[in-house]
Amino acid sequence: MRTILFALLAGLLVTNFTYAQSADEVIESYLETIGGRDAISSIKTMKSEGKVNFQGMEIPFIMYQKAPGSQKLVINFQGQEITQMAFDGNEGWGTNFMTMEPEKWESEDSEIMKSEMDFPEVFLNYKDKGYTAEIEGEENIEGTDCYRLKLTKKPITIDGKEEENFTYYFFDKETNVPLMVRSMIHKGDMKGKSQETFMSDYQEVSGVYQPFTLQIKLDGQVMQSLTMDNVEVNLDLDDSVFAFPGK
Amino acid sequence: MKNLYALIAALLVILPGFSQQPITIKGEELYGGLRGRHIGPALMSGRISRVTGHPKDSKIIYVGAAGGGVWRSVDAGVTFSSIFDKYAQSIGAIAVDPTDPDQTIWVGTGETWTRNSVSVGDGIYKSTNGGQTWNKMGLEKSEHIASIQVDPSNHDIVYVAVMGALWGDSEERGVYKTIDGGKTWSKILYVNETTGCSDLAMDPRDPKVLYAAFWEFRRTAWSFSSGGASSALYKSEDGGQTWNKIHNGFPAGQLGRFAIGIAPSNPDIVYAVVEAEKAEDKGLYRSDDAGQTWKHLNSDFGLTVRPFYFSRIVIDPSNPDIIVKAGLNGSISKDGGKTFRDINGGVHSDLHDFWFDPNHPSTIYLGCDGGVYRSWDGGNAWEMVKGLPVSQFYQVAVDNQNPYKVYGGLQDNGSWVGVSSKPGGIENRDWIGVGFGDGFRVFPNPGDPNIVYSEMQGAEGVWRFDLKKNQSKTIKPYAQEGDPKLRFNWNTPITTSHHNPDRLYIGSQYVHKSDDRGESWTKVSPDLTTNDLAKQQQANSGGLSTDNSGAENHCTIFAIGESPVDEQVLWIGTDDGNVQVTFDGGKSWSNVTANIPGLPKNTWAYFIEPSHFDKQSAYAVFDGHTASDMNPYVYKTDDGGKTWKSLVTPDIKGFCRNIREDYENKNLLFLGTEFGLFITLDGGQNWSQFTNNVPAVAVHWIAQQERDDAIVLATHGRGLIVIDNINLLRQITSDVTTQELHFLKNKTAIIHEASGYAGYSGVGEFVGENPSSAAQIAYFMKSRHTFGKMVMEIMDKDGNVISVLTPGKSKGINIVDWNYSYKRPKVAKGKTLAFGGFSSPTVPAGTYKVRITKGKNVYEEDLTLKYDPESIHSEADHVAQHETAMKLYHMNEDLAYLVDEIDNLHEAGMKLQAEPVNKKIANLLPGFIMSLEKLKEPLVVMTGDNYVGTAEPLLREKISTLYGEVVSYNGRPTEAQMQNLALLAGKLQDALKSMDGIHTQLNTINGLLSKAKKDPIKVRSKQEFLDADE
Repeated sequence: MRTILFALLAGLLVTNFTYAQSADEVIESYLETIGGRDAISSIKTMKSEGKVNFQGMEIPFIMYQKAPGSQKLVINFQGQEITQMAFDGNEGWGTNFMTMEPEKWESEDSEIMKSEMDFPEVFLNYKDKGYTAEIEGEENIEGTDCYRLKLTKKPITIDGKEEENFTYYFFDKETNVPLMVRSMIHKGDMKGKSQETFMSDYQEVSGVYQPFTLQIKLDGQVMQSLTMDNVEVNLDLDDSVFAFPGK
Repeated sequence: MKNLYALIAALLVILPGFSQQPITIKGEELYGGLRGRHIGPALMSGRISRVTGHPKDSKIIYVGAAGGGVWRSVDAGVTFSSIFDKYAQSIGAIAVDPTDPDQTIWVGTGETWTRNSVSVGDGIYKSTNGGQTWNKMGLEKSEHIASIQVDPSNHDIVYVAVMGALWGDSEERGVYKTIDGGKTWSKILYVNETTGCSDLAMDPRDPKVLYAAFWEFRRTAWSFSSGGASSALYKSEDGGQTWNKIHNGFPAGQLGRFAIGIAPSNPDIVYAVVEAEKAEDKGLYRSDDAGQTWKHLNSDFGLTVRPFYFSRIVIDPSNPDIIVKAGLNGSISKDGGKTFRDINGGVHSDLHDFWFDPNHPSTIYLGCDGGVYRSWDGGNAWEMVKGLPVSQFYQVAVDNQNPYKVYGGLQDNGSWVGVSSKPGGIENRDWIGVGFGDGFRVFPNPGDPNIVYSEMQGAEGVWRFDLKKNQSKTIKPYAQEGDPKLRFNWNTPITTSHHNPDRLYIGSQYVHKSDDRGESWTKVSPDLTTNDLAKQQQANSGGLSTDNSGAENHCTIFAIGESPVDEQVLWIGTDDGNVQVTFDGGKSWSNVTANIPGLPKNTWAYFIEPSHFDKQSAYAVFDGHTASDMNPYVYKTDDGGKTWKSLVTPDIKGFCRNIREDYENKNLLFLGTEFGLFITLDGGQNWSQFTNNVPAVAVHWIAQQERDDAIVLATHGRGLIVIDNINLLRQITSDVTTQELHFLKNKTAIIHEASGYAGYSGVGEFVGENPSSAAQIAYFMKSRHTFGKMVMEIMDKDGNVISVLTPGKSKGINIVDWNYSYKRPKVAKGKTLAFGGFSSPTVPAGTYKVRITKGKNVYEEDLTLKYDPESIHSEADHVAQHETAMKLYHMNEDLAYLVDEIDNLHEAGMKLQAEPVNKKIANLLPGFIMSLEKLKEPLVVMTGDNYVGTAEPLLREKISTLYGEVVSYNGRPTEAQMQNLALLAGKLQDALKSMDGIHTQLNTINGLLSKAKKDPIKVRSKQEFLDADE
């Protein structure tokens, strides 16, 4: 009788445990799976070359990133280098397609971007950055059972109104890596809609796995795909790469 | 031996005649990238049951549709997004938490405007993240939720008005309260199993003060009753612990449905709209002492009309004397209810709800049978929201035009013809009205799509409409000498024939047949219904307010199905539960209802689908919800109705309305239920809900487009939804589902040639999604690809990779679009962009190879690409176009390399000039550099911008423009274009020739450099240039 009771209790405990996987456990096994904290935090800069597929058009790009949050996406058309977007940790800018001259973003956008300074990894020391994470449930993503993790950052200000800033990460229960990120569009004519970014083709770069393919969908329809061909880390990247060059 | 018999018998029980191997994978694991596309329309929108908004942020508005879910605008009503797709789409109440209005929203499902066609809900939901995800918080059997009130002092306390079941008794009715944010509920006021809480209001000064209206009501399939001794208005002053009836001033006798409204600016003023026995007692009452006494103010039509549909009153938040009341036209009062005027102003009829922006009370939103309207001037002028595709279809049909057209009828919004695709998307203006009133079944003449048949409620109008000439002829059948009155259902069955394009069937209690497009009719059956006189008293229907609209007509034929295999075989279903069949064109009929096992008597025979394969086979679905039986009933017979087998499994959610058998694979079935679309691949052993961009909406009808392998869903709340590529489902076998990667045969890819100028619908108007015009590559994977590289390439017949695509990684079906074009050409570098150079030439028709490399495994499949068989261009035209396009393509690249070489030589020359090697060379360099500059000058624009500062076009701009123009048209280029090409080709040749001269100069310089033991000037080759990224 006692053994049966114990077995039953143990069974209950096990079921409870698997169900009550905490956000920290999910995040910890993710960081471990992709290479471990040390390897991840040793990445200071990154240059990714690849192609964007947008409405059947293939556009080569180069993405530069530097900790904690500088980034620049450069595309090339007909020998012209066009900075699609750049952010130096303080302000953002991009090339105007009409004049091919650099122009600054609206200052509110630069402020919002400051909440995205998460290079090399959003979940690394996320609590120190003032973020909170919780497992909100489970969802099947592309036929795969996932945990739905809600990551909440500090609120952002849109049109003068403070808004909650959270994103959902869907972690594959088996492989521990996120398969999809669902985020709300905060500004513009798509405001209020959810955008889903699917991640795949995880490959190792300098001891850290990262997705080499990102596919962005709205209502299940592919809007654009990004595929990396070549990723380099810890190259010399001067801050001036990201700074507004002036007209 | 005996044991063997027992074993065989047992096996037979386990496998009741299913020959197909079961396919048990479900949902996304199966459907993967297969998805629905919504084509609306939103032109007439659809019934709205609730409108509300954010208490402080005027930009945020919520709309609850009668059958189309919850929509939110974050831009003050310019655009709306659906935020409740996964759940029951019939909405009764929406409440924004006053203490956390950005994030916490409550939705009570189940519309409370209880017309005959009302959908049901399945409980109450809460979101704490602004509608991104929802949790069901219980009250599953509530069916219809009328109001949700959140305590502003403690948002864990919430009161809910549960109206409860419409079609039967229920104890899940009354006022419910939670004090823990919805985890647990207690029923704090209950009257009886026929009387539910139809309205609930909270005093804004004191959340413990509540007013609750109770309504005794009941529908059956043939009657409606509003009112009784149990209807009453109650008040509590202690958060619902105790309640008092507050009728001081109300009429005696039976009462019906109430509406209550508290004036937010003076909560002692309370309005009640009362349904009473006597006409003079009905209408608006007002209390100035918080409900202690009531004074009758008004019994105008607008205040008394159809209480079951319009019991809603809303008070201006800043002025207690401004009142709006729902109604046929809606009423507005500015003197505290003494007098009213109609709202009208071009607003669609049947108004159900209002919301005053509390921050700007002259801004009012209203919801009606035709969508949402907004007024900025306190309700004088109204504009319609054109971006809410919540139309409620009863049926849909398709024709065989290219692109095919869609036909269907709508609740209170007529009958329509629209297109299934159009360059730029399907806009509101692409729909053509083909019938008045409520629309139901609409069919094209199968031989002449210029002729459309449509009808209105109860077959009061049945029309044949000529789309070319805009002429409508009434073609309904009449009772003949000696016949009783014809009984037509509200949603009368009309159908066309597979065998004779001019044949029509229509059902009253009889089947009527016409072979001349409705000019003359023959009765081909006796009364096929139960003809129960007790169920034909609709003239007395309505209860305290008589309501004889035709909606309760009963003992009628509802379904007519003609066998595609044999025109003598007709199946019919009646609303009172009969299934009858004839195998001799109507000479003799057999009632086979009694042969259907497990089917409750008189269950509405909703739809019958005769099989495409065998005249003895048919599918039947039954809907018991009008008897409060929410179970699914789906059956199949293979012996002409003698025996039936149930195809119901626990996978099916909601009562059923429609079923279709695939044209090619008889194990592939599509089932429409109250809560969405369900598909089986194994003849009904396993069903799986299709949720990829198909909400949990009532699917009333499914049409199949055979040529395009599409199905079209007539949803009762989300318009029409198309699912393309259903041919892929035919190929999923249990064997396929175990394979790493399995290519699915797709339709032959067609090079689409249609183009057009994009629409001008503007922001805020709904635009329906087009099918993909790409060549689609489909495959099934048994698990998702997450780690390692997976690449898809397209190769031409010589094995050259002409395109690299991003493959889908999902478990289940993946579909990848290839736009059958080459990469765009390299274009010369200038100061500006040459926009023609962004075009890519279409590849010629032919066979291509698809190669997927997934880790170490390589999978290959042929892809055949064809010119559109309906193309206006000949084979020779296509060849001419392709050759010209490629000629220009190469001219772009020749010029691009020429400029690249010039630039590189110029750079090298300048460098050498800065660090001269010797005098001889120094003397040659200025001439060399000048020749390069002179050569480049007429080739590429080096000044100006990409807009109005643009410079005069030079050779690069001229070549790329002509190239872009030729590429954009799939047929033969014009003579003028060919002449222009010759001119530009000549100029390019001249430039290339000039380069030869420069090469001679270069050779001399390089010779001197060698002599001086210096590296000669060397620039990259053309191939190196072409291989490099741009």
